[in-house]
Amino acid sequence: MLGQLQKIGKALMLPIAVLPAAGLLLRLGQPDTLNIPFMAAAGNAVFNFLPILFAIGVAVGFAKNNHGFAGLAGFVSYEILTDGAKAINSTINLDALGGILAGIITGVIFNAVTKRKDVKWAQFMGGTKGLAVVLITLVSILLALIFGYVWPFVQTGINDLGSWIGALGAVGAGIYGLLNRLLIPFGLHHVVNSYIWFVYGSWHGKTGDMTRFFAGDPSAGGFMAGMFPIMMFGLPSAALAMVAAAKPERRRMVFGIMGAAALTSFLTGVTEPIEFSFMFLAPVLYVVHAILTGLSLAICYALGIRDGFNFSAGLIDYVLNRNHATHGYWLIPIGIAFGIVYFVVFYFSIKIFDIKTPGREDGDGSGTIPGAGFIFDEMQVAADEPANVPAASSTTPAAADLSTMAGKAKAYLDALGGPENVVEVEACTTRLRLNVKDMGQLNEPVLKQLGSSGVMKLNQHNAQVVVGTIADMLVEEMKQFM
Amino acid sequence: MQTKLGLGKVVGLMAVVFAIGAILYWLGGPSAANVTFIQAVGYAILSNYAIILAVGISIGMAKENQGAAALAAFLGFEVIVQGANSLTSSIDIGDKGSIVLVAGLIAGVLAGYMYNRYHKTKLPAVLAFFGGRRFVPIITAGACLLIAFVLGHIWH
Repeated sequence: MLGQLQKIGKALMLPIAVLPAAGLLLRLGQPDTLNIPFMAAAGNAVFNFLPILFAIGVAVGFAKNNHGFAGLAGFVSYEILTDGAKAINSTINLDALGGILAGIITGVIFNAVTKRKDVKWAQFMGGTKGLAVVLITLVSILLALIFGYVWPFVQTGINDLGSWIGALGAVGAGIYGLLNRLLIPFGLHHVVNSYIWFVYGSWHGKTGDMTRFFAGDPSAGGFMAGMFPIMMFGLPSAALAMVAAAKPERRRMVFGIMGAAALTSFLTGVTEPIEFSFMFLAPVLYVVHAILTGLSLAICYALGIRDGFNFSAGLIDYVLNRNHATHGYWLIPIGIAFGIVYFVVFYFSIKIFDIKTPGREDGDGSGTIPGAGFIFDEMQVAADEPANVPAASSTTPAAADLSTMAGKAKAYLDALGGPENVVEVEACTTRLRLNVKDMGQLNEPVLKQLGSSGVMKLNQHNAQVVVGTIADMLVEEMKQFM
Repeated sequence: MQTKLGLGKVVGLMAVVFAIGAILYWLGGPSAANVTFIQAVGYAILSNYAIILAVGISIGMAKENQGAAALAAFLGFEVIVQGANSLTSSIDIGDKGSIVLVAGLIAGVLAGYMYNRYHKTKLPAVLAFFGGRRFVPIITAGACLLIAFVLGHIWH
């Protein structure tokens, strides 16, 4: 179940990657900026059809080998589901959830059917893959029938839940902020996010805090504003605290790593490089970070600050949406305050409890740096420099050309027990999601040497390996060897 | 590694999907069972013929029939149609308009081509999230923006 829910989070990454560019067009095309209807229309092509992008994205993400037939089926399934249900009850609006649901059902049926032996007579339409599409079409009709009669009741329930969270106001925003961060390690934060961003609340037919914010709803953005102080100031300060707390002789190198991670968070709001660098080393510190995030959201909400983002709460979104925001300038002083709190909390926690954050490891510093591995590694890949991994003991990777992504993929595959052991591998933003035959064959020391910063074993067969933003390309190459 | 299903099989599949849509539309119509729900479901398939075509073409062209191409094709289609429509009001972008077929064909071919060419794109570390397969819908939408601009000016 957990593995399945995580798959949704991962699958949504593909459509979500389009949002910043679309948001930029939509934003810049508005009458208050460049006033180009053509640009705004192009941006709207994304935001207006978000549920369909989710349907295709989730279907493809769920389907084995990300097969395109699932994408086709996901689209057809969504159209049947929504148009069919509407024919029964015209008030039905399935929106983003409809897209995600169509995507899940499509992916599950697709995988179940294509597992079977290929069918000769169906070869003209791609064998079992084609049959799966036909089956999905028929199941979707049944589903539309069920939704047509059941959904009006659920719709009332969801509205009640939304107004309940809305009625909680600042406390609701705080709870959301806390949950949002706590669920990141499990990849489940997207489930909460998609409700808050795309479903919660309603204004002129638009639903969701994010969608309404960009449609011009002045009351929207309460659940997003508090993210800016954290992502622009809090986490970058935590990164700098780690630099300050590093051993003097390693401070410069750690600055190279953490500085880039801090800059990424500040500019784009991509926080994984920082968060994953201390999440496993100091889980208590991560919980503190989640509590501070909740606090920031609650404070900003209570002060009446409304601001939003279409990708994440970094400087780019802050500048782009500044005219849309209410009291947005307050986010800067609040952010600086949070920055100071983060720095103090992180610096002294690391010093007092002697947490082995990057640059604080024991040893003479001549070898690899375990804690800092993944970020350091990522920088090297970006610069196209050969990785420096010593091959001394049995816990080091087998000799392979680690300067290329293909060589890296081969080394990772070996450390995971080879192609025979890996049943399925998928990429998330910074993680490999694995389904393996024998969990015992995962060689954690070697994986660490290769640059992963953590291995999470979810159960007997599901595991995740944090590798940094190279995840997508790494998996692409790994599949060549499988 | 799986092998790619050729365009022929994708066309076969699309034919089956359209046939299902047509049968349902007829079945739900007044000359047969006369059930609005069934007719609406059939029409949901038939009225989106251009998008199904776009998605199908892109899958048929893309290496290993990868689904990222399908997403790019849908996105490209909407960018062309919505973009062109914003430039001139004389275009019928409903399911009976002729531009939707043209947009579907262009978006499908472009998405398939862009997938094969750009699915391994490496971007600088700060933008690394948008690299690889995630770059395909972005670059396809960008190219379709140009197409929309041209079509919006010449389509009357």
